[in-house]
Amino acid sequence: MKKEDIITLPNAHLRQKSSRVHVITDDTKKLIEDMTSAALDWETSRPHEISAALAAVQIDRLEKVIIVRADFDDKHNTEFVPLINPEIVKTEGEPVVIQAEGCLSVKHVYGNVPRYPKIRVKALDITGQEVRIKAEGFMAMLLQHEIDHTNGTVFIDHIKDSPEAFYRLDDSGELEPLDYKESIENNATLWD
Amino acid sequence: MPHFGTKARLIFFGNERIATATTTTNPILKMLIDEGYDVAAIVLHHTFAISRNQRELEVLNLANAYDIPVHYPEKLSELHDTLAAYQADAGVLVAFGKLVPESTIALFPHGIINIHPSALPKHRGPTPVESVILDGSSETAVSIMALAREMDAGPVYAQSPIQLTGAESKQELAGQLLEVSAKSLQAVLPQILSGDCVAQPQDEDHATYDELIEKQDGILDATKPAARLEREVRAFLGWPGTRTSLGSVDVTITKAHVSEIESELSIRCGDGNYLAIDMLKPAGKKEMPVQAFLAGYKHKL
Repeated sequence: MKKEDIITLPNAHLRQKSSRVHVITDDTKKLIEDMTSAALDWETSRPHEISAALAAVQIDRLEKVIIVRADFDDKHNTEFVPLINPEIVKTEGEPVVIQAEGCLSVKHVYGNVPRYPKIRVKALDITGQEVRIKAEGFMAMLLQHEIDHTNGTVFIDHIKDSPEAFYRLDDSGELEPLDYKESIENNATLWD
Repeated sequence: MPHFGTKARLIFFGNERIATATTTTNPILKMLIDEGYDVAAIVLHHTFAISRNQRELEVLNLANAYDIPVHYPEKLSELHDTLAAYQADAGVLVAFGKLVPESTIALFPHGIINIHPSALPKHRGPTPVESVILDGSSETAVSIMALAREMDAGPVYAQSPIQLTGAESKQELAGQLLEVSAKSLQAVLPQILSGDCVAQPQDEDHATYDELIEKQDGILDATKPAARLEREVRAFLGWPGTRTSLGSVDVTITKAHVSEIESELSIRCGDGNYLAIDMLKPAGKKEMPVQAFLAGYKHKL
């Protein structure tokens, strides 16, 4: 699949809850392949970013499947780990901003979202085995972001009323504050 | 979710000596490193490594400081697999000195981005810096272009103009061109890599090519107009120099101006004007102003 197959706001599917996968079939495996190829195609057009993770809803499949980059500092490692029916089973600490996050389905907008610094996640691997993951820092933030997708939440929904939390990425890859009143507050693309 | 802060991986070709007898502080490579690009390797043509005068390669300082591997292939084709293994997004080439085969350009998803210090399609070829001085141009430019198989014929991403004062030496102009190139590339490279900047083909009908400058071009030919000879002094400074004999003394003229009247030390030129010498270097001696020269050599003239 291509980056054009990734749906973006205002597509209403992004605010719908995905359904659990009951049986892992060849169709599920094909879905994971499609998600991987779309994520990799997206990053070829992005000089400063790499696709770190993707949820199935982002290629318009309302199923609880996410993929996570094996090494998100290395663009040349194209391996992703799929997680099926992921859910957070435990959180530690109070939500804090770990770093600004963006989303392949929210064009041009980045934001500081408070996230739990440590979480535990339960999911199924591709063989249907249950896996439990302890995550902290960037990985904890990323899993919360993707699991939100499976529940119909987009990262900007957490910071809707925080004028200070919104950024854009300039040409050289640096974050630059966005004018909340002008670009965010009444932006129909983001909220309708 | 994207992870950002990762920058494109680049391979750097060349050493930024864009004219003969110049040195460079490598502002373009420095900019790429400072901007956070992942410069995975530097490629130099092997003849650079064995140059006759063993002049130190400035780019090696940066390579050492930032632990960047350096390759000196005899032919780029022999480096094919090594370069492919870097999986770089693009090449950046400045004064590499040799044509690059298409198979090497094809290794990079965004090709090789070449910086050529002229207002392309004018002054294609090996001597753009010298040639604008020799032409007496009032303006030149740096061109950022996509490298193509034919010399300096690739489509152009961006050009930044530079005004000439008419007094600059080759070394001064080369330094200025490199600084402007670094700024221009800094601005346009992200757009090239994101596909937002599309290169435009050159106007082939207006293309001009410069010849290589040779050592004998440095022998002053007094039948030329004075203005032309003054430009040669600036364009040939360092190499091949502007050489002549004054009486029994062989000298290289390093600074001169055009004059309608004869002066203390001047040469009558083909157009009737005089090339008045300001600074010169007698063979085997240091550069000196004309007064010092006259004090020491008057009896030999």
